[in-house]
Amino acid sequence: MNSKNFLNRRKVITAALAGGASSILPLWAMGAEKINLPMAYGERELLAFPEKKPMIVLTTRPPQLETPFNYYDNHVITPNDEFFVRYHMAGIPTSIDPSTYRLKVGGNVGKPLEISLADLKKNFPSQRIVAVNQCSGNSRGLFEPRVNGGQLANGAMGNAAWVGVALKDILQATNPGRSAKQVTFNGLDDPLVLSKDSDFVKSLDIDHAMNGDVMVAYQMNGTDIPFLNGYPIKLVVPGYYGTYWVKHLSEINVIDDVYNGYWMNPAYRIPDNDCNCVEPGTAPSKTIPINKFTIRSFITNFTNSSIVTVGKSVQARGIAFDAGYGIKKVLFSQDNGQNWLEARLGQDLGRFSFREWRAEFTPKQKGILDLRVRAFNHAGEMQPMTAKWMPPGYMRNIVETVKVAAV
Amino acid sequence: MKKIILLSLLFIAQMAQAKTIELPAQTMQYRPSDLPGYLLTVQQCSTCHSVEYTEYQPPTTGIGYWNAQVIRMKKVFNAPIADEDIPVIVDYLSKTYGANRK
Repeated sequence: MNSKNFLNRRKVITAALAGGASSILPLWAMGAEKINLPMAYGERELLAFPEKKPMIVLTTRPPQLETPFNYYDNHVITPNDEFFVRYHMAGIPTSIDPSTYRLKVGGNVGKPLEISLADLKKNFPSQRIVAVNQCSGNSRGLFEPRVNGGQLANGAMGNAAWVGVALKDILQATNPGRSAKQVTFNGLDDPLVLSKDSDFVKSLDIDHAMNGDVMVAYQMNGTDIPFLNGYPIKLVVPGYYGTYWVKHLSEINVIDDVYNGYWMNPAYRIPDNDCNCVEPGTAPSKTIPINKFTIRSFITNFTNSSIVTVGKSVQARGIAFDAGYGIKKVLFSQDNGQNWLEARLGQDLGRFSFREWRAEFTPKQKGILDLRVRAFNHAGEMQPMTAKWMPPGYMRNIVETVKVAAV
Repeated sequence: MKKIILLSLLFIAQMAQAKTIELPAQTMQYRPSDLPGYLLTVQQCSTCHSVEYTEYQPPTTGIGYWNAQVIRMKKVFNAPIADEDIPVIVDYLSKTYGANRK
């Protein structure tokens, strides 16, 4: 078989996507090898990694996998085998023995601990939170002007039910010192050449760490956390970007100052101003660590290749989420934002969860309809109509548009 | 003898408890080139990561990005890249990817 034939035999899926949605893949395409994301140089391979369906490969080594967008139309809880994966370090674990696994908690504490998985489950009360995890750079590839970094479309997000132990309970058992300012988190993933600064270590302020929401999870959607999502335990930081959700969590340290390693500074920083944005092409004068999610919403059941019928009522649906203030309302427009109607919200699974929405509309005239969806939360935040920009390409949350054909 | 069997069983039980994964190999390779930086890139960059990230950088990507990344790999992640090799690798990357990707 020559290479030309091989290329011809590939199932090339051109998902003519823009803004919010990717195309609904037919079942036969589940094992397909290619997908096109809506950006220049957007062709990607689909590959099945351990415990995962075929996912969009951003990198194979270390694994970075994006969820094909059509998957979000099937469930408000993202199944474990569809959940995105993002590693940073060249040295990732590939074998973990849960019977010898230990979580070390130390630093400025009166009573350092080494907690086994059995002890974690037995000695501390458990809690369950449904929460979205989203990569800081989700949708980076959709930035205009384009920015460098992992070229993701909208699939580096997922919503899961996490069960574990409140970090507060673990920290209290160690009796943190009064001068404690931050808590650092390290996992089993390492750089190939260890150095003090380059290891993937993240930090949270002590008050945040003690707020009761932040937890050490040992279960995801009722079962073990998939290996590539951080088996056997990961930090869950509801409402905060995935960079803080340290996988294979192995070490927690209470410290008296502000942790300033590479992955807190200069990596994962955002402009320190009201919009967390700058004029395209410029650099911020001052930055802070990325923190809470911006508010977002998506249409999941239409793509830019969808067709609707003039005069016939049809349902649009999708998801909305924010940093945990709670979705107040979702507006839907079939005419590029000239007129809006309020969508019905689905079941409330908790303030950190995806919230389903549905809206019926009747296409009025033939042609291309710009479907748009806009979420509002209980803190008065709403999605902007025009995109904000920053050099690292984080926190995109423009009102998304899907262009369907009305016939 | 009984003790050995018991220990063996215990060992097997322990082994069975470890969760192990096998990751798929990358299918993409660095774009072949006659530039002297090609082989250096294959040798030095492949130690830590696969190629896709490079391949997918947008058409707006110029030499400044590649230079910053190679220096970052050396300074932050201690990639064993000799100083004199940096411009050679950057030359290959900037002429092959980003703005100059065919």
